[in-house]
Amino acid sequence: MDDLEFRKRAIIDPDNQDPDFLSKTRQNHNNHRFVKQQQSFQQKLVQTLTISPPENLSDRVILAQQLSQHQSQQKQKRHRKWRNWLGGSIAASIIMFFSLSLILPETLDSATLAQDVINHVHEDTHALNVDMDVPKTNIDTMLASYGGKLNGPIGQVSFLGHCIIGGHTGIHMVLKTPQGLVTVLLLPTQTIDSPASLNDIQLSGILYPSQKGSIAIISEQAEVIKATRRQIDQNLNWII
Amino acid sequence: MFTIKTIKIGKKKVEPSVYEGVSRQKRFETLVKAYSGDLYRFAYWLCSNHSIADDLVQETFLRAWKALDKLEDEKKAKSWLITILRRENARRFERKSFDLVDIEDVVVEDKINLTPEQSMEKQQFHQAILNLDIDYREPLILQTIGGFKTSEIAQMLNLNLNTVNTRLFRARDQLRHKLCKDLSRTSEVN
Repeated sequence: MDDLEFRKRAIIDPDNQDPDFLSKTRQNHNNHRFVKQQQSFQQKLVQTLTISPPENLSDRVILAQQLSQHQSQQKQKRHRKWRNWLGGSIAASIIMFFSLSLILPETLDSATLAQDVINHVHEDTHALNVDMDVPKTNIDTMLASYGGKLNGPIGQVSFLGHCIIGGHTGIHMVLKTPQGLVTVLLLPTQTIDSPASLNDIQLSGILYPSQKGSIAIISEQAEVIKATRRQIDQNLNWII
Repeated sequence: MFTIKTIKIGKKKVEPSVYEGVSRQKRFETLVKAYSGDLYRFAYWLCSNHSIADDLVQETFLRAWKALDKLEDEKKAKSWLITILRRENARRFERKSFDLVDIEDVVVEDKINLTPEQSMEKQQFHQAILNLDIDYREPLILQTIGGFKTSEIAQMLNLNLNTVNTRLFRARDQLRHKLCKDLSRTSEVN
């Protein structure tokens, strides 16, 4: 290390503890004095730079942090509360939607429901094989559970039961008429916009909008359908 | 069971300061108590204003609290905090311009009883430091208050080691010249 380098290093860092630097410092009196001068200057510099921080700075910093943390926790709580509320609301909405979908009539495409009705009649052949005289009280009770009421006779009912068509419940009745058996499906929760004909190789019938939901009348004898419809429409009332 | 370590503050060794296994809050409070003073001094010499320095320290520690889990090595706590403070200081220029107190109006507080000459000399020194260009002042503060080595300063300021040495040399050289001039002027007046 030459003298110039030594002086430069003494100015940059007078407290340099590098062995080379310390050795050079001890080399002669001038070097030693020069380093002492720099250290004295350094001491003044440190004294000047070492200003006192405000009183209670640490306490204020910790207080600010705790307040900030508290606010953050409150915010999180509010956020959580809001989220719970929102979650609850969404859940309630979903439940309400499904409940209403069960209670309120659903507007469907007539052709789709017509096909569902035909499929059901073909599948539920058991109903046509039952030969009972269902008491009027049974009919009234079942109708009442859907909000329906008979004001007059609809003829002999040989079968009465619940049915599920297109995922919705309804009433399945078979009327025994002089012209043959007629299947009547009361579908109070399935609303359609327009009537539809029910025709396939074996059956014919009609699906039409009712005061509440829809009604399907099916028979192997086409001529009996109109008469049954008239009788049903005249004597069946729905409480909406 | 706590493990007590020793950390360096400036050029002094202080213990105990860091406890392993203690709560996050306790860890934070230890950092505040150990470094708030040095951080305040660094902030003051950086921005030349006591009030802003106070705000900078507060903001720095709030950010440090949020990011405390990122501090893995307690030995690097001081340089980590200073890095946060420097960023905060840079951010304040992005936000808005502060009404800075004119450095000529700054009154140097003396808690030690100094003779009028010593007091004047200290006042002149104070002004001379504040008059230094920030590029020279910053490494000087880091070295003198922070107790960082030149290599560490180079890393913190993202500068070449030679550049840091040059800046430190010039900072001290300028201060010395300024003080010599002021002192000779004062002598002439007297």
